[in-house]
Amino acid sequence: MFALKLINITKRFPGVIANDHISLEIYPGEIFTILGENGAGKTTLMNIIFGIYTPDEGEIYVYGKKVFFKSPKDAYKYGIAMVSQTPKLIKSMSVLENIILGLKEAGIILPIKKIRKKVEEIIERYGLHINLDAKVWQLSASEQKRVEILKALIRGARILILDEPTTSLSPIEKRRLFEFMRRMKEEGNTILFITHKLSEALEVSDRIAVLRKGKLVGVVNKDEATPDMLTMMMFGKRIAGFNGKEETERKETVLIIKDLFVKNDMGEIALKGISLEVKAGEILGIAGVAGNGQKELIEVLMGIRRAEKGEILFRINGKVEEITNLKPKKRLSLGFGIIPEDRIKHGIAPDLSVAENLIIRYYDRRPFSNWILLNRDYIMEWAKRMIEKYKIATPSPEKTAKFLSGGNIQRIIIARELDSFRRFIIAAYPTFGLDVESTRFVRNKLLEQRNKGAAIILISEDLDEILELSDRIAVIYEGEIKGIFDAKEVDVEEIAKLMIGGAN
Amino acid sequence: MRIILQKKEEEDEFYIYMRPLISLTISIIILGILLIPYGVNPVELIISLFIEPFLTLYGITNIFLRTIPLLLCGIGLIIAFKARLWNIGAEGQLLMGAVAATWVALFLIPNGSPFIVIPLMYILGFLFGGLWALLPAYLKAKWQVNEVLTTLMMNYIAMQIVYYLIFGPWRGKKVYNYPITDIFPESAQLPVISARYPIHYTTLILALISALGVYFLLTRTKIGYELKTYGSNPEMAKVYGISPMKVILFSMFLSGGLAGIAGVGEVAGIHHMLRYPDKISSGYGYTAILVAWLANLNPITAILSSLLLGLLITGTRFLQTTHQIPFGIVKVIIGLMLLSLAATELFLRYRIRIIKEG
Repeated sequence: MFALKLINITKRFPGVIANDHISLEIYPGEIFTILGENGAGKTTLMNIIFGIYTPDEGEIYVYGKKVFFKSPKDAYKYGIAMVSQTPKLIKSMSVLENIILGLKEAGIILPIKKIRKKVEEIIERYGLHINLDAKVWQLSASEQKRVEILKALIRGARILILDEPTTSLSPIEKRRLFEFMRRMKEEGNTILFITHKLSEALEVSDRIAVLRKGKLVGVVNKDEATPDMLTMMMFGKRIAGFNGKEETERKETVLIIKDLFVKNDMGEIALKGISLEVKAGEILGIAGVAGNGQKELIEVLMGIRRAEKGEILFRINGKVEEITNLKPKKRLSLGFGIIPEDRIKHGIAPDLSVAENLIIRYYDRRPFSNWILLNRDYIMEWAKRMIEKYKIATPSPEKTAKFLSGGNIQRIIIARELDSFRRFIIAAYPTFGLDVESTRFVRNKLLEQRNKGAAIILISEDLDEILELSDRIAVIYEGEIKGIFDAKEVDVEEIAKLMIGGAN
Repeated sequence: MRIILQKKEEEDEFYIYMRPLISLTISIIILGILLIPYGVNPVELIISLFIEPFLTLYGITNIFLRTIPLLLCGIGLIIAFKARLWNIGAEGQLLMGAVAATWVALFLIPNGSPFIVIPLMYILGFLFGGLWALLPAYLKAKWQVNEVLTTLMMNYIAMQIVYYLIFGPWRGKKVYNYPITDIFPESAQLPVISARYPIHYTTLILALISALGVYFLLTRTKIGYELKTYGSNPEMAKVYGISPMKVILFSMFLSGGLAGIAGVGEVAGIHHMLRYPDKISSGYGYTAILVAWLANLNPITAILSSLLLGLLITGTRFLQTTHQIPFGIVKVIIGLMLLSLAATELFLRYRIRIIKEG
């Protein structure tokens, strides 16, 4: 009998089919890995199994019994639990309190001692050591993950879904996690392990299923799988880009990153001594799966995250100046253009009007304002021009920005950042979530800037986009640059393999 | 059948303007039900609250006298709220304005010309109120200390200062040992429209000018733009070089200053002395929070919302005399309105849809 059987699971979201007729059969007592690029549909599929989404089509069987989950509560009843990518814990409460929360045994009077003993037994059995009285906010990312696992185990999970559990774990922590997974499996439980890292998939799985663009490409036994074969399955056959891009003369180096170390929000080193150079008139693509240091790279370039070590140099009028920890505003006046990673967080003031969002870069200079007043007439006229030129779909410049679609918000950002020539541009996931037309529009704007001589760093997890736009491609993996390639003579498979940590 | 919430795709302007009226209606209905055991007929309730105040000189005057401090504090709060700074301290800032006015009137220039004394009272009232707000503002800007707590605590400190002054150094010599100061000299009493309508119109004019001024500030000036941007998205403000320190200090100072002017109006325009804090203010600083939100944070519509609350407070006075309902019921009304305003916020962005399932 199968622990879990999926038949033709299909889930559609507006504009995409996230899961397209996926059928899988998973045995009790195996570690079953689901491998795929970001956006391949892995998390959607897990959310369906766990009852967060209901499938549009298809059937799910758990230990031979057909189930229909309305919520994770139903999934728990069948012994299915999920540890999601981002911990869902209450930070101000202790570990034990978080574990107890929502537990069936917790009646009106909490049998704390009993539960505590039970939790301690589980900790002992699986080696998931943690201080039960620590507050969650004091814990590191990996400890929080352990709490999530404990939560699942005390609820009697027999099928455990681990959604990219290794993100931000150190090698030792990773090894411990794998030991735990094997332990679970030996006891006859099933583990669904989601990852986009080849090495992990090959190390711990019994079988590996590969998803690509919502479809199941195939299922292979670990013993039969090779890195090349899995890479091929994950990425398909892709052709290196350079689709008739205009040749530009690559002139002087505009931006130099030297041996840069940057910490992430958890205080862990996220960029481990990277060095890069971008020349005028070129697009340097940074290929990589999200979470490998891109966020920190973007933010240190924007000037909103401090560098621990190393330096960033910028060429201004022939002189090279250090700008490592220069304020963001100063960078803008040096000619930086910023398409931020998180357009809602850094790119738009949702309660302000479209016009007010368009002028944020310019509001404190003439003719937009004098020393005290805004020049309303000029601003309105200018905003109308931008709305027309960049085809921002809004009935009026005074409309509140939060009611615009993601594509139109991105157009606002492009309009204010790329309307005039910039010496250096950070373009982070510039077409993420955009429709075909907006995507083409944004890419053309970037190419226009490049042709005029801008130096551009393009960060994207869409390998096709990187291949299409870049002149050179650097691959980032776990905070390090794993290789830099000329886009004209690039080996796509090599890049894909480096992205998922598959080489060397 | 299922009831679901569906996200609105467009800004629902009609609902934005209707929401205060809906909240008002809901609160009055609930109040009507609550007062039935007291033998108050709902129709009489509405008459007492909304009509009776207009029928007497006392009523009309009272509406305006209460509108003035509500409007000033309300506009001040709008500035802070626009910058997403939750200033709960208008009450204390108002009291500090009252202290400043008393100091000018009784101690700084007790025999001055009204042309000097009155402007100076307003200016120092503004400064005291502003400085009182500046301390929590600085703590917020420098160390991210939660301003809700600090501004609220500053209210109690301000109250204690007033108590100290009226029981201690400022206790009047001609007041038979009551805990109040001496009466202000005539030069420090604000002019009123007439003996029949004792409305200190200078403060009213200042309040109306402030409403227009703050509207202008928020829509036409650079600092107003920075303040709104910071309030809407502080992360983005940082990227584009807007200084949080500047925005926080500026908006809190202005916010407190306007409440300070309200305090000047209360002591120099009505009481002509410093006295118990609850006599000076009766919670205007807190009620002004409702004024600001009812106005949808627009300083011009705040004129209407402060009038409405001035009317409600006055109406409650009438309720008290005609039906022996304790005046404390005013807090119930304000509480109900705040609650229903908060409850109806959901529908700014969502609409209810009922789906019939087969």
